[in-house]
Amino acid sequence: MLETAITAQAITVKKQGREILSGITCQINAGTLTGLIGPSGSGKTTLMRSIIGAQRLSGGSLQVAGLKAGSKQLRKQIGYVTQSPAIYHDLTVLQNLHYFGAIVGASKRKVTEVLEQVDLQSVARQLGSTLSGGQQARVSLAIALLGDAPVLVLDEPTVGLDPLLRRDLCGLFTQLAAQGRTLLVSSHVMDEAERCDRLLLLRSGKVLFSGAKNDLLVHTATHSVEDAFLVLIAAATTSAGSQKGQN
Amino acid sequence: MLAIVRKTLFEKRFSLIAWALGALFMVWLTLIFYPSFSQGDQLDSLIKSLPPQLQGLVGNVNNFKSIGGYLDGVVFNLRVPLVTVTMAILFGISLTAADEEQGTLSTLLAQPVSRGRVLLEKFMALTAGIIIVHIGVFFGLLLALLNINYTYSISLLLAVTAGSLLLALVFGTFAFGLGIAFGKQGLISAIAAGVAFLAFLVQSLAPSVKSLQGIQKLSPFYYYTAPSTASNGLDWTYVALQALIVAALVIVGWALFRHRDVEV
Repeated sequence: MLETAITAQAITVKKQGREILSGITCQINAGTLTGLIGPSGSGKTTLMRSIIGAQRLSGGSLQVAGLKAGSKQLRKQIGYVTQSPAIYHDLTVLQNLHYFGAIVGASKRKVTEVLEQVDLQSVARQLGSTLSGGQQARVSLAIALLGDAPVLVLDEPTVGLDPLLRRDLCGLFTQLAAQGRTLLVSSHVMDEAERCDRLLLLRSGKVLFSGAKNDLLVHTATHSVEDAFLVLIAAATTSAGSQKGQN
Repeated sequence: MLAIVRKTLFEKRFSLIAWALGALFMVWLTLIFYPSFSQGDQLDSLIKSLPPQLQGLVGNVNNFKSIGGYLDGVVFNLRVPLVTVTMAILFGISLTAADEEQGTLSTLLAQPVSRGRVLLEKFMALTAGIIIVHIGVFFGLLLALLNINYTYSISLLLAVTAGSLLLALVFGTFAFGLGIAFGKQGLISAIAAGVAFLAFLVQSLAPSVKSLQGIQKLSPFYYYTAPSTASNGLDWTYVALQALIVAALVIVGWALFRHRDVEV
């Protein structure tokens, strides 16, 4: 049986009176690559922020590696890439990495290693301000990889990247998962889901599906995650409609 | 060790050097006119022609005749604080609210680093930046004195520079505290600059406007200008009071920052 890295029990998040997450219950196994898929506004970022401990929960419980999300002991256990990559524009790529490397205690060799992993050697001495959006996203990813954190939470890390690079990065994610790391990678693009073994589908702050991709396809009798997503939405809408009718 | 301090100072190096050189040049340019002010009477008649309320803004012209009085009344009364307080406010905001709006604070907070450490190291960087600019102020004084062939007590020069440093630190920490607590760059810039301007006006106009005398001691400028530091040295009670204000601002900023929902 696989060890559980992240366990959410009926978690609810409210912001300014609005429910962003409504009773999310799911489990993410250690050493897996899980795609957190859903349209914009479905609560993906809020769920990720809850996992890294930056978002207060209104209800429910959330544990990462057996500890309460946000615990001090978890700081070194989780690497996080924000949705909008933000790096220091007045520093070069290498200086950005050395800076964050100093904070997480990474060696110079580790900096060189992650630079290669995200394929940024050619722009290593370029200022952050001169990089394209995709390159900045890769620097952000490299920063998250510096600390060798066993859990990586990556909020739309492949947005704006060309298809070749997206494929390479997905290969890197698979490789990291194979090494035993737990990756939760969000995306609002269904194509991305095809590259993940496990999926967590969100819509309007609720879980539509959580489990292996193959199970999803079998369960919905479809051949693509996008079709499966549509089937699940239709089922959820029908169910909600019939509940209203009963009331 | 102190990675955030080192990175901040490295990242802001050109801006800090520019501020320090600007302060040096401004101090030098003001002080080299001391001989002509001390020997001529034109300034007396010019100031006496002003309304009494505006005379308060300039200060007692008789004091300008001595070099200590000139330093207190001309160099350090308005010009130095104008530069150093502005720099401190801008620097305080750039380390906090601007950092948050650019998203880099989020990237930093996503690392295994406590908010307490982030705040402390950023405050240390703020202090170091203000010190760097005041090194420029101090060398401006030395250079000008050398040019006009005057000598003056080094300890008093250090004291008046330290007095300005403390004032800049009070306003810099005020902006820093607001930035770390609320993270709204535009609003905080306006509040910090407005408060500094009002504090200066209160202290400057209080001698000639009775209604302001009751609130004069609320202005940090009171603790900066009242002791006439260039002539008498630092008033250690006021130094302690300003240090307490700085500490209180940091603590309040930290208390609000600890549980704030920074958009990471």
